[in-house]
Amino acid sequence: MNAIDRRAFLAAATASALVTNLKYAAAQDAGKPAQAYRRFEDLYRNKWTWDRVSRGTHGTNCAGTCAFNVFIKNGVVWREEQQAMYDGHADSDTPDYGPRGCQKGLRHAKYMYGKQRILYPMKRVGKRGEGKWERVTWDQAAREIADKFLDVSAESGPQAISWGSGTQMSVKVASYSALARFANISGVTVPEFYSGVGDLPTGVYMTVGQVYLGDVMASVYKSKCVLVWMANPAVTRIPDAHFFWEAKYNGTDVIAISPEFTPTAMHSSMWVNPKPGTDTALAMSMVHTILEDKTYNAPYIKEQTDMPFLVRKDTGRFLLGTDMSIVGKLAVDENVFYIWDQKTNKVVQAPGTGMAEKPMNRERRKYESIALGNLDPALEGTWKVDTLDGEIEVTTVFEILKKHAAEHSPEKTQSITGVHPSVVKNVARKFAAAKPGMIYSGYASCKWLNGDMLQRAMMMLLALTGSTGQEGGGIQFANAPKAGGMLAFAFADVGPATRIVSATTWDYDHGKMKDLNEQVYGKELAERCDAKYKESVREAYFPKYHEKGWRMGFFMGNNGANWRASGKKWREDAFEKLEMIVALAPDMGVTPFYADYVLPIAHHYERADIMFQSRTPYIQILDSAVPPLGEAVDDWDAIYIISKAISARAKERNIKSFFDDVDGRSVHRDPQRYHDLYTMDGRIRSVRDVIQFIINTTPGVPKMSFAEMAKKGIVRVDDSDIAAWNGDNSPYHNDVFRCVRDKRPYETLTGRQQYYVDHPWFLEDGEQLPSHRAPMRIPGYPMQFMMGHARHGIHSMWRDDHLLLQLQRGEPDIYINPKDAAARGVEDGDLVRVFSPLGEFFVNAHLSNGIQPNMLFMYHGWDPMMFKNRQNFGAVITTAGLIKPTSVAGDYGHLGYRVLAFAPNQTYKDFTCDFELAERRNQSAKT
Amino acid sequence: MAPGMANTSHAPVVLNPLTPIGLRDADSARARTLAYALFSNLLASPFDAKVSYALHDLVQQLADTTHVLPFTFDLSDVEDAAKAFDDADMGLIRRQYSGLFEVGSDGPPVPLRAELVRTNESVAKEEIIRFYEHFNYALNPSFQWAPDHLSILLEFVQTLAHQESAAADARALLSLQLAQRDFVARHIADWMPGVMDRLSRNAQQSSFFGAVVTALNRFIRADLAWQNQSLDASVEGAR
Ligand code: SF4
Repeated sequence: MNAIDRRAFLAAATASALVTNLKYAAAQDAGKPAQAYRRFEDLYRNKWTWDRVSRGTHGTNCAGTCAFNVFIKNGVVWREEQQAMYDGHADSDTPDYGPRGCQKGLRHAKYMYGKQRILYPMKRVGKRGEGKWERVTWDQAAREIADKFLDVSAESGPQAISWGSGTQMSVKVASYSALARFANISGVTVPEFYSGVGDLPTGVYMTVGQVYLGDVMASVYKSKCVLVWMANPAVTRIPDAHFFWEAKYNGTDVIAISPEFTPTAMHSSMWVNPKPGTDTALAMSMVHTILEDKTYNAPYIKEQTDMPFLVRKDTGRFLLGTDMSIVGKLAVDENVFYIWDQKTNKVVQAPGTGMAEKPMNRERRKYESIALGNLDPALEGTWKVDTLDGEIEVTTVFEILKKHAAEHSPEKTQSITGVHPSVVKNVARKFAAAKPGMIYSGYASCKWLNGDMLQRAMMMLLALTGSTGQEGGGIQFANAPKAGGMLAFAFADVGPATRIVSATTWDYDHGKMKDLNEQVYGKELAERCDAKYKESVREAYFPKYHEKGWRMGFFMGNNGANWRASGKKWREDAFEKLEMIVALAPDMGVTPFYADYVLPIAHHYERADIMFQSRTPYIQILDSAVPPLGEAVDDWDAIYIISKAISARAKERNIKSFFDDVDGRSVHRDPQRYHDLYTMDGRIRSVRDVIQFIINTTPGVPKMSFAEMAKKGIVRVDDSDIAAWNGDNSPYHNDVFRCVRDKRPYETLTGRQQYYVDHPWFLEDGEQLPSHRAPMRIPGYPMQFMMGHARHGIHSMWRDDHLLLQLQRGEPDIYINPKDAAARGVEDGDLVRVFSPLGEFFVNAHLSNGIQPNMLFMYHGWDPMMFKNRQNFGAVITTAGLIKPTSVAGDYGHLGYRVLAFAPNQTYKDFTCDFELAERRNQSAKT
Repeated sequence: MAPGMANTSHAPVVLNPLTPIGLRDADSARARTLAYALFSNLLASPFDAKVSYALHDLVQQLADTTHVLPFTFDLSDVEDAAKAFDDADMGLIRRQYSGLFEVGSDGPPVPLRAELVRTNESVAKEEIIRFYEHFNYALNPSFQWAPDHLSILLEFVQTLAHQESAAADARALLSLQLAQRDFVARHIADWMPGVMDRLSRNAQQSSFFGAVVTALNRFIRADLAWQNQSLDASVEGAR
C-alpha cells in the first residue's frame, strides 16, 4: 500500500461507523482527557466519590437481614458497609441490634461479580450433567419451556409440574408472593421445603398447634437460663450471637448442649455433651429431676397444659364426653375433656373444651377461656368414674408422666447419654430456678427421625417451669410473618387453588424411597413406613398430588440437588428422570448443572424486595443498588416472562381452558389467561408494585410507600415494644403468647399445651409421651454422621468464594476424632473416603478433639460441584425414605396434613457410615 | 503504584527485531484505532444487538488494517480459521462465542472479564473506572456492570487512539499516548497470559475465537512494544 492509498484507506476507515459509533460508551467524545494525563498516579488524585448509596441486605435465609449501605459508582457495586443506625430496643434495658453483619455479607459486593454467576439464559447441549451449554435468548428459552409446560399440563395435569422455591427467594417476601400467585393460578405443585429440609418443628406443633414460636433476639437477654440446644449461634447467627454473651455477663446461665464442642459451647457458661441422638433421654431426665424436686409451676401446668386431664387406665385414651353420656356419643358435643376438681372432688369438664366443630380454624375459640375459675384440678391421683362402659379407673396425664419420667431418671439415662447424673440435675435445677427459662433450639432437632419427641420434651421442660409465653422464655425457633399480605397477593382475583405438598412425601413418591428403606433399614421398617403413609393418603389426612407423576420441575432459588437427603439416589431416580428441568438461580451449582434450561436471576443488590425476620423488630428493604447483571432478571420478572410465553403459546396453539380438581374442588384454569391473571390485568407491573401490595396488606407493617421505606432501609414494625412477639398488631405470630396471657384455648385437640397424644398410632408406637429412641444405625457402619450450618456460607451460597475458602481449608472438610482417625491410619489433612451402603464421597480429614469418638461432623452446604466425582454427603445419607408414621397421622384435631405446620420431616441424621484413607496428603505422615 | 500492578516502564514484552518502527503520527494512531475497534468488535458478544456482526467483513478489515499498522502483524491464523465460518450462520457464531467466553458450569472456560482472571479484584477495576472517568468514557447503563470486559477495554483504547489521531496540541497528544501505553500494559497485557492459559486448555471450543484471542495477544504485545519504543525517545524525556 503506498502512502496516498494508506492515508485514504485510514481516513475512510476511521470515519466509518465502526469507529464513530461506539458500542459501549454513551458519550461520543469519549477519549478526550478532562485533564492532562502523565502517569497512572494522576488518576488517583481525584477523590473517589459514590454515585449513590443504596439500602440493602442479603436476601438469603441466614435469618440475619442485616441492614447494609451499598456503595455504587458507575453502575458497579464496590462495597457494602453495615448500616449501624438501629434505634435501640424500645425496652432500653436490652442491647442494641446494630450494627449487624457477618463476613459473608461483607463479601457480597465481590461475590456477585464472581465466576459462579449465571448471567445469561443457557440451554443444555450435551447430556445431562455433561456441563455443555449454549447461551440462548430469554425469548427462545421461555418459548420452549412454555411449550413443554403446556404439553405436560394438558397430558398429565398441572400437578405433574413442580415449582419449588428455595432459600434464595423464599425469604424475599415479594418474590415469594409472585411465585405463590403463579402457582395458585396455574395449579403447579409446590413442594414445600420447610419439612422438605427437615426444619419443621412437628413436636412443637403437636404440643401447641403452632410452629411459629420465636421472639426477637433481645429475648435471650431477658432469660435467666438459656439452653442452647442443637444450635450453634456463634457460627450460624453471627449478627445476633452477642445477645447470648451479653446475657451471660448479665448473669444468665447460657448452657450449650451439643455432642461436639462448638464455638458456641466455647463461650457458654457450661457445656453438656450427650452422645449424638440421645437428647430426648437427657431432656426427660431433666423432666424427671424437676418432678422429683417438685420445683414445677403447678398453677401454670394446671391451667395451660393437659397434665391435669383425665385418662382412662383401661384404654390409655383421654376420658371424653363420648365416654360419659349419650349426648357426647351423638357427637353433639365433641372433644369434651375432663379434670378431677379437688375442691368438689368430682369429675368436671375442663374449661375451654367441648366444641361442636373440630378444633382447627374455629373462630369460636377466641371467645372461650381455659381459665380455671374456682376449679382446682388434681395433678396426681386415681379415681373411679361412671362411664357408658361402666365404672372405670382414670388418672391424670401428670400421673402417667411421673411414672414415665422415672424410666428416664438421670441414673438410668447416663448409659444412654454419657452425661453424669450430677450434671443433669445441676442443669435441671438451674433451669427450674430460672424465671423464665428459654430453650434456643436449632433446626437440627427436626432432622432426627424422633426429633419430634425431643421437641415435646423441651416444651415439657418449659411448661413445668412456666416459661412458655413469657418474655425471655419459651422455645425459640424462628417465627414467621402472618401470611396475610402474601396470601392476599397470591389469591387476589382468583381465590385459593394452590397445591402445596411436603417435599418429603413428594420425593418419597417419586424417588423410589421405599426401596431405599428396604435396602438400608430392612423390609419390616420399609413396609411399616409405607403402609402408614398410604393409609394416611387413603384416609385423606394427606393430599395425593403425586398421582399424575412428576414430569417437569422448576427450581427457583433452590439448590435441591445439593441438599436432598440421599441426594445421589434422588438425583438418579427422581430428578434426572424429569422430562424437563428448569433452574432459575443467581449462581451455578449442582441443580443448574443438571438442568435443561438455566435462567439467570438477579442477586441481592440487583433487585427490590421486602424482608421480614422475626429475630429483629425491623423490616429490611432491598433496593436495587444496580440493575441485574448480564441478562439476569428478578423472580417477578422471570415468572412474568415465562407466564407471558405460556399464554402466548396457548393462544397460538389454541389450548383451551380446563377444570382442575384440587382437593375435591373443581378449579377453572385458562392458560391463555395465566399472564393477565399474574399481572392482575396489568395492574401489577413490577416487583415494586408487589412490595407495595404487601406493605399495604400485611398487619403490623407501618403504612408508607416503598420509596419511603427504601430511603430508610430498616423500619421498625408495630407492637414490638418488648422482647417478645406478644402484641396482636405485630406482623408475627403471637398465638401461644396470647393463650398464656389471655387464657385462650390452644389450637390443639385438647385446647391445651398437649403433652399426651392418645391418637391410636401414637399409642401403637408408645409415643403418647416423649420417650428416648436410639438413633438408627446401620450394622457394620460405626460412625454417626452429624452436620450443622456453616460459618463461611449460607447453604451453598458463598461456599465457593475464594476469599472465604481461604479462611477455611480451601476445600470441603470433615471433623474426625483423632482416635477414630488413628485407627484407620488417617492424619489431619488427608483425603478420606466416607461411605455407607448407599454411596461414597471424598473429603479432607480435619482432626479435632472437639468431636466425640464414633462420630463424624461436617458443616453443610458444600455443593457437590466442589467434590471429587461431584458427590457430597448426600451420597451417603440413607434417610430420605424415613417417613415417621406419627407424622402422617390425622383425624385427630390438630393432627393431619397442614401446610407449613404438620408434615413429615426429611430426616438427615438417623444413619451411620464409615471412612477410610483415600489419599495421603499429610506431608509429615510421609516421613 | 497500586499493589499487584504491572510496572508499565518494564512491561514484559520483547520487540520482534523484524518489526519496523513506524512513525508515531496521526496515521499510526488511525491504524491502531481501527485495529482496536476491530478486535473489540470481534470479541463483542454476538448476542448484543448493538454489534453489527458481519464476521468475514470484520476479519477482512482487520487483515487490511495489518498493512497500515506501524509494526508488522500477521493475521493469517484468524483468516484461516474464519474460512470455516459461514457468515450467515449466526447460530454457530453465537454458540462458539458463548460456549468459550460467556457460559459454563464453572464460569465460562475463557472469561473475558479481567476480574475473573486476575486476582487483585477491585483494585484493578477501580483504576479502570478512574481511567474511564479521566478520559470521559462513560458506559451505557446496560454495560456498566462489566467495565473490565476485554471488548470494552479495547474500545476504550480505540477511543484514546482515535483522539490521538485528531489531537490538537502536544499536551493532549502526550496525555493520550501515555494513557494508551499505561492502560494497555496495566489493564490488558497484564491479564492476557491468564486468558491464553485458559485458552490453551479449552481451545477445542472454538478454533475461530481461539485464533482471535491468540492474535489479539500477539497484537497487544507488539503494539505495547511499539508504543514503548515510539514513546521512549520523545515522551519520556518530556515528562
Ligand atoms: S449474610 Fe445474613 S447474617 Fe451475614 S451480613 Fe448478610 S444478612 Fe447479615
